Amino acid sequence: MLTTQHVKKNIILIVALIFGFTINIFPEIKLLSVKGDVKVRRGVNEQWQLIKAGDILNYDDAIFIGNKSAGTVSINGQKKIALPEKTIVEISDLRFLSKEELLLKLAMDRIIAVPQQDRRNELMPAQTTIIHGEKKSEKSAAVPNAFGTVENALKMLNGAKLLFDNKFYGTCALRVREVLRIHPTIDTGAEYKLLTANSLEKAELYDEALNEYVSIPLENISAKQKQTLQQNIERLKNKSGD
Amino acid sequence: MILFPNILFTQYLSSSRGVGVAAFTALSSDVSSVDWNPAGLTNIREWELNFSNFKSTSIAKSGFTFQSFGIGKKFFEKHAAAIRYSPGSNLEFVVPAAFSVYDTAGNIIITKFDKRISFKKNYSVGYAYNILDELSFGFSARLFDSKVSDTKYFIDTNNVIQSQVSDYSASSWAVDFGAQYKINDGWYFGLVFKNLFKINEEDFTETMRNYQLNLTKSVCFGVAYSFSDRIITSFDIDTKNKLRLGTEISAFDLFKIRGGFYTTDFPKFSLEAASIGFGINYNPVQLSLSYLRFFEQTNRLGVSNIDILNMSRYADIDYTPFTPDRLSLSVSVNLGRTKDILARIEFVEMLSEVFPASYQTYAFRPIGKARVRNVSTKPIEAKVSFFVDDFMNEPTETKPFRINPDETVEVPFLAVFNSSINRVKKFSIYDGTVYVHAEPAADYDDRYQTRVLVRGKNDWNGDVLLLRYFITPNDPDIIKFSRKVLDKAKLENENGLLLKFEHATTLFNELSKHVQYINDPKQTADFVQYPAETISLRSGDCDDLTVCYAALLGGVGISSALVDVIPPDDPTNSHIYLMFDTGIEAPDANLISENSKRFVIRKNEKGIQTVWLPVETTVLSKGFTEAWNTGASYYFHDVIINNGIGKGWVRIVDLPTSF
Amino acid sequence: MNNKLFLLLTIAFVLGCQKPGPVEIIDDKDDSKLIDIKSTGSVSDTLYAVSGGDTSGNFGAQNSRYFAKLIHQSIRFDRLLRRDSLINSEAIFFDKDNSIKHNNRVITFPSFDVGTLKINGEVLNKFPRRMMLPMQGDTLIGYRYQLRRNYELTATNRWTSTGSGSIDAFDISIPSPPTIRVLNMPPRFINVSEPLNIKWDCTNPIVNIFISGEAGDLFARRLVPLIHLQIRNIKGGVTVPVKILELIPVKRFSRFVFSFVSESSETVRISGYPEEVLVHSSSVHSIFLSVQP
Repeated sequence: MLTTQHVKKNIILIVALIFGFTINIFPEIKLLSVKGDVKVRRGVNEQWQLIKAGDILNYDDAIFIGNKSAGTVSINGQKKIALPEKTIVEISDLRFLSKEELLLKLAMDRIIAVPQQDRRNELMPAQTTIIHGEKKSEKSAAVPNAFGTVENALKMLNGAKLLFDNKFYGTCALRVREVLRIHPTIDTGAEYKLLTANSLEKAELYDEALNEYVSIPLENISAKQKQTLQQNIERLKNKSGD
Repeated sequence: MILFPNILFTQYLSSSRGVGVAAFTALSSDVSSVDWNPAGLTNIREWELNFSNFKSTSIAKSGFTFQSFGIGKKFFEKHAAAIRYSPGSNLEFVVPAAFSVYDTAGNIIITKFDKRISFKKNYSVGYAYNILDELSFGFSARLFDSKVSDTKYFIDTNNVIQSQVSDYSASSWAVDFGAQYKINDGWYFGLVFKNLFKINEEDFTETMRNYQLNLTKSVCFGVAYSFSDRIITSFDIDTKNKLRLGTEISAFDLFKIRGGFYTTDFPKFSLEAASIGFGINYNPVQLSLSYLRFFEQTNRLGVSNIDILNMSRYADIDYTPFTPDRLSLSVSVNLGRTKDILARIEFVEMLSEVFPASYQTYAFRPIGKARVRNVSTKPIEAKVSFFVDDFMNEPTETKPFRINPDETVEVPFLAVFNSSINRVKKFSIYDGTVYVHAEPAADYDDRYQTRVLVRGKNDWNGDVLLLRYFITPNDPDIIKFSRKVLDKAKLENENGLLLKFEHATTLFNELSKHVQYINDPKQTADFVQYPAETISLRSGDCDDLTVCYAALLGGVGISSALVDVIPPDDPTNSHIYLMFDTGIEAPDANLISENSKRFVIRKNEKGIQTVWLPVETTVLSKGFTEAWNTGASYYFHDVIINNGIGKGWVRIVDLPTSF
Repeated sequence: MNNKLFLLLTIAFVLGCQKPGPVEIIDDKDDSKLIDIKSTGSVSDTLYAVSGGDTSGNFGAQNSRYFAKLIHQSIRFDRLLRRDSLINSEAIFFDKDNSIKHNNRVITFPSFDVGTLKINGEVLNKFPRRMMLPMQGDTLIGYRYQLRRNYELTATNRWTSTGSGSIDAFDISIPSPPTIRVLNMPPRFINVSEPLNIKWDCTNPIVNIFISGEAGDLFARRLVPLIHLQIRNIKGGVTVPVKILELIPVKRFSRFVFSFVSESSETVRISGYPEEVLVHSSSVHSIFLSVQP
């Protein structure tokens, strides 16, 4: 069943190739070497599965590098990226976003937000179906795999650092945001916020970078970090002043 | 032995307004047009009732005489007809018995008169036709009755003188033909052929032939010019050398003053009479009062000479050498449409067909627009109304639009349909009426019939915005279905955070057991089933299932949104799927999935970010998980990778909910 | 609004209930206003006239109420080829109180004998009146007086009588009326369809025209008075309108007499006679004509 979907996707890709627009053309990503616990999660699946060197990674896959493990991927057989341990990287993040694309994606939160319903134009009568005999349970923290997911979140943040190191600043910033949105408690030291801001600065979105720097709470960061932060803010203020 | 010039009279006194302005050939516009110029009948609006009275002021003890009563009617827009009964249009002479007759006892025998001659014009009919907006023709026929009562004397066998009255009568129809022509910039023209034909019904005997009305033929030409809204001047001239000159001034909107001169022997300007008149317009009643004064009073005081009688040639019997000064009162009542037209609808454009599913939206989104022209001379405030019989309880009305003279404004109008429009099963055409009414009038000024295309209740134009109106979460059948499903599933022990997720899953899976996905039965994308229909029919296409599932979700208080994808490289291959709000906040997203490709985080109205799941209903039969996977996959591809939302070819349409 | 309308229309109707009067037509040239048509009465009333003595017929109804009459007429006759003139005097004194009845109807009255009666010195012939009465047979019921002689103009006419029986002698003078002479009259016939224009020479303010039909044969001609027109003589003539001429019963008679009479009369009392006595003097011009319808 999944293959059917892939076939469809491929068809769309081919169509897009022919017409040459709208759909990003992904480079071929190949896993060159594998050491230790390296897994792949295909598409929208939940499970991670083993992968071996030489396998091709799809654009909607994610790669997992476990403890004391490592891997290397090549992009179009040219650029090689070494994947360190405790890292999860979304293959789709291994791409450069244009400034405009990045801006749009940053604005996506706002774009897809549920709109305020205009009550004046409310043509539907009130919906008042109530399901009887139902008890709402207390909100529970006892989520089956909550611990494991935090681990994975940290691996994704590591992956984001890797993206930064490989100059994928746009996807880096977006990835950090998304992880922190789902795991807001991880970044107590504002380390990843600084990473986001740096990425935005590198991606030449100075205003956005400045906003990101300014939003970092000062009490939680070290003196050295604080100093860097101040310098960066000053620098960006000058730049955005241009 | 012609001692007097040919005395001919072509003037009419049947309209007080006409008497007031003296020259009325170009202006006649009411039932009295049967006298002045039958073409003027086309100015009647719907029904007109007309009454006239007069009083001969110079004759002692003369009271008001009921002159005429007429009815005029406009029909089929361009035709007009009138009929009039005028008992007061009489001309009567009496020749007294001059010698005295005594009986044998020497007492005088009373003889009333020697001769009594009476002419009557009691019945008139007229018809007129508007050939062009500015040109009309008409003809009228007036019945003239002549009667002579002659006293004869004879000696009986006893040598006693006796008297006896003999009556002689004659009657004939006189037919006039007339035309009126209007030019926009204030010129009016009128031309009448008076007594063009004469049809004799009954003739006098030879001995009385010289008393017969001759009803001479003549041609009268009239011109009027309106200098402004307030002043109109007119003049008439006829082939009998009569010239009439008059003016009407509107003092206020309701009040008019008139004056005129009657001259004879053209081109000499010998004044015969002068008139003054007043008019009051109090819709629907027009009241006119006029006074006609003759300069030469001989013969007009109720006594005249037999030579004048024998000399007179008549075109009519109203205005004669014997007509005394008179005060005329006319009342004209317009029934039906009475007000002046201020605004006209030039064109109506219907902006959309009516989709019953979304009939309520036409209360907020214009269904059409009307181009309204101000045809008056002053700025107006116009409102447009729209009405479709059966489907609307009452007409909608727009706010007033200000329109300057001779300008047009396009006025969009709305329609508040009632639910009976849902009875329309298939594409049909209905009559809709667009009205415009301009202030300060209470009645509408113009009307425009338009066609309203009403789609079948299941018809859909492909617009996802419209699709949401098919989603009826309050439909009892939908509530019944969802309640039954959820009761059966007994979810009360489930984790509260996942309640909506569980409900959505259960409803989907039950729906998948109950309903089968098929292609659009009509092989087109323009037919959408209502959710209850889908459940009842147990089948539906992509749109039907999406709509049905959304309704089921809405029925249990789960917000959902339609994701409308129109691929730019292949717009015909558009597709719609659904996503719904699990109510789970972003930090708890892992309760649903660790793979962020499988959900969408959206900020709700309160600013809280919750987890939404995309679902593709066409894979209904494979269960919720597969539908979710497919939906998530589509979303990742369309939105995350290809940025369809940012580029505008993916649209998220939230479905309203009260939860 | 409807109420107001209704009210207005009602007013309009009520106000308009009057009818204008006719125009009265005056004919300045019409002489009708100068003419009074008097009744000639039925033939039975003209007891006197049927005697054949009254050629003018002017003793019709208007004079029948007098029971005693002294009449003097100077008469001119115009026929087609003849002109005659004569004086005719007549007198009678009826006995009103002794009427002769038949079947309760008065047939006639007896008349008195007044002795010898003279006019301007000439003795009138005295004619007995005889009558066949049912009971008495042929009976003398009195006398009448008459004299015809040549025309003579007199300024005054004097009646004298010797008296007889209960009636005393009397002597009465009455001035003659102005003479009348018709100046223009068609010689042979007139046409009723055209007004008849007549001029006369007469100063009497009243001129009477009597139109009589000529009945009987050549030897027993008799005149039937038909129409009496009394004309106010203000212009020496009259135009008789067609309306009046049409009265002439052209079918009943072949010939008609138009008598133009200028008269003067007065009433006197005579001792011994109980009633008033009419003394009548007239100048008469009678013209015989045919009348064509």
